[in-house]
Amino acid sequence: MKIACLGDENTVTGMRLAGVVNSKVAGEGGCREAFMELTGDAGIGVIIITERLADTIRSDIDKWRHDHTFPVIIEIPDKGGPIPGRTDPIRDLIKRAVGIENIAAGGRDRKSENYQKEES
Amino acid sequence: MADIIEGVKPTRMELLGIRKRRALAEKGHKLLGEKRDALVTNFFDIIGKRDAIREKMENDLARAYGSLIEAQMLIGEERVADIALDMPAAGDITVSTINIMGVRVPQLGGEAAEYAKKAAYGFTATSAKLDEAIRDFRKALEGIIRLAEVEGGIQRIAVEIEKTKRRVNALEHIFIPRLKATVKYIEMQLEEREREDFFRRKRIKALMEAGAKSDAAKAANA
Repeated sequence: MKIACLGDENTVTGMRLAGVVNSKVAGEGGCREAFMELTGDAGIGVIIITERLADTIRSDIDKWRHDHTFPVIIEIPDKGGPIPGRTDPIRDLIKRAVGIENIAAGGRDRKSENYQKEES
Repeated sequence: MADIIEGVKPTRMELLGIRKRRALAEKGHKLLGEKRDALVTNFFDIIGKRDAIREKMENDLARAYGSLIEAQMLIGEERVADIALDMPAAGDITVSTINIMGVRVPQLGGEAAEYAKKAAYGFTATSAKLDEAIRDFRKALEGIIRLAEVEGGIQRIAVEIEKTKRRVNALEHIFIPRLKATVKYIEMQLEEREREDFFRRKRIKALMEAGAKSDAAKAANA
């Protein structure tokens, strides 16, 4: 399957340099349409989207992720780096699923204790 | 006390049926609870990996953007964009799923970083910075694909955990108490009916005996 990318000009240029041919420049306006078009293509396995654009169509992405396994949607920072203060959607999801935040590697035992407490 | 199931008739047949349903609900509750725990264990394993991969990917990507900007400064933004349009495509990735407790977790394989042919630009008209940018972005892309696999898995498992949790809670807090209350209600109704019957029999017996006595007395008087 193919990889596709949706982002601003610099991100798309970079992804094209790496060989992601299905890259599309999108502004905030046409982002939803472009996203729908990519998800409708059965030949695409991964969609790379910049955080900034992803935030503008958050509800569509969440809905798609909830119902489908493929294509996998991955959000990457753009040229400016990760948006400060942004809630990481994956972290948010983890929090909702197990009821705790901040599961760092190595802290597992302590965390699962917390989890038990939460459940009881 | 929880509500009883609506429209249930207090009969022995219903009682047997509801006892069966209660046994099934409790079995289901136990199984789903085990499924939830197993999913959470798997979840923690994946989450541990995720943060490290994400951080590495973000660093790689930041470096790649840096190289890109340098290349753009040296040979011009438009020229870089033109070259980018003419780059050879990355190899296809293979997608499959593995099954964790009935959840389809995506697996991305294949070499996205395998390229069919060489880049089509001249060395004289470009800069080494462009080569660097290409190399860095290819590296970042590898990280992105690995991260996509992990985050896709987290996504699927999280959805399933939420679903399972909801089911466990519904069974635990609604269905099982309701079945229990219904069983109790029917049992009490049946017992009450039995007591009524018993009393009625006693009463009739007493009446009949009294009647028989007075009959005997009348016969004796006559």
